[in-house]
Amino acid sequence: MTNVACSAPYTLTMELTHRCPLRCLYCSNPTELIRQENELSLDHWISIVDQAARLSVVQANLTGGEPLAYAGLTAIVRRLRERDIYSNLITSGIGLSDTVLQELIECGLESIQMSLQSANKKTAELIAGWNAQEQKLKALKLATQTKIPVALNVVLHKHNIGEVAELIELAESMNVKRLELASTQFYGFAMVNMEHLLPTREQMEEGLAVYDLKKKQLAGKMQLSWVIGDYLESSPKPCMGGWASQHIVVSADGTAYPCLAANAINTLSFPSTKEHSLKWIWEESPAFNAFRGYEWMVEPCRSCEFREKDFGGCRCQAFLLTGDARQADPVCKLSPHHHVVEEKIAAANAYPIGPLVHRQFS
Amino acid sequence: MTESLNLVKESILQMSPGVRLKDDETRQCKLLLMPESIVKLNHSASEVLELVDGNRSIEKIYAELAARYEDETLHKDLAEFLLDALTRGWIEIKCP
Repeated sequence: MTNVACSAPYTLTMELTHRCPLRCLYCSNPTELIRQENELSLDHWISIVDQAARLSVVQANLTGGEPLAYAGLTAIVRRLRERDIYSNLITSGIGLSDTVLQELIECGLESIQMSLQSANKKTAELIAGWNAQEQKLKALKLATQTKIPVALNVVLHKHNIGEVAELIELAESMNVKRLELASTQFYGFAMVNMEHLLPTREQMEEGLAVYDLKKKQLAGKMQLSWVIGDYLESSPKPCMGGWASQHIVVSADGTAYPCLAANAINTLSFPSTKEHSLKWIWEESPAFNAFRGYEWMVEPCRSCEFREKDFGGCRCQAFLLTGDARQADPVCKLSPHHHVVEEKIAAANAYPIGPLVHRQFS
Repeated sequence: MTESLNLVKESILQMSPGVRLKDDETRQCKLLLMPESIVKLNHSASEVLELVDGNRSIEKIYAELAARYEDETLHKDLAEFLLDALTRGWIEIKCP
């Protein structure tokens, strides 16, 4: 197979560690967590930053687990600044003291995205498996007092979708300039807990009505966004702008993926930055080339008029729901596997089913 | 819309916190880098945003562009672009 020509990647997501004090029901980490002894050294991350800069990466997301738990974080931020790569810290806020915050900003950190599980302490504890609300709100307050922008990110699901108004009020009271609501995406732990998380269509529509109203009222004061979950939509999301077209993810153990959820596709062998250069991984590796272009597609995608718009949807979701990553994303109404999504929605509406499963290192 | 944003020709504009321009040699263009997104700018958008520096007023930005181009729609195009950029949070009005 000849590789499809690719253009330079824009962003690098660095999953520095899987360690995290929170145990969220929808954690985006793989269900097989990487242990501390298998984490990359600081020198290796510095080399990855240098290689990414040579590949023309211009933005980096520092994430985890909780990235503040990785000891070399500030040194990585400094290197990103030296290479003129925009740095964004994605954090729970746990461990974000004033000293740490000032040090990160001095090293060149350019923005922060902080998570909140709920506007309500009890619900937050149910989701995160730990009472962290006070610490998190304290960290948020510290962060909003700095010169760099802070976005508050709330993953929405059955337990907090009724809180849209409260969440917006809380963000306003904390002087947050950007609030991102994001419907749960069903990969990893979220898939394990799907029945507990997927809201009904009615719940989502009620939430959206509040959101639309508030968004108008707050125009010019707060940026509000909501990424709606694709299970309740009729067309698939364009997978990362096309498989391996803009993003590289490097996991805590050095494995590289085109997206955070891709490790679920166990029919592909993902390359390691310990064995290959980032350039080879991006340009030559079979995994990154697997779904570039359109040759890999099967029907109905292959002859679909929307294929250049949505790229057949999400490859990881296609794999998780059909066992074959080349299939059309089953959220698409045109997919022959669409009934799988319908069945999942029906199962979630019949909630409660099984026990809640919090992530944890076994 | 301009009223709700208190936008007047004397308003001084600056880039919003965490938003900056970058010259991209590989892609042969200017990029707008901001929290969690990147915008590839066309030539006219980058020309305007280079003038948004926390010192120039809207009037001054218009005057400089008008000196470069004889374009009947410049005034309208600039107003639309700046409003859009303000709404998207790329730029903001500098408090006096």
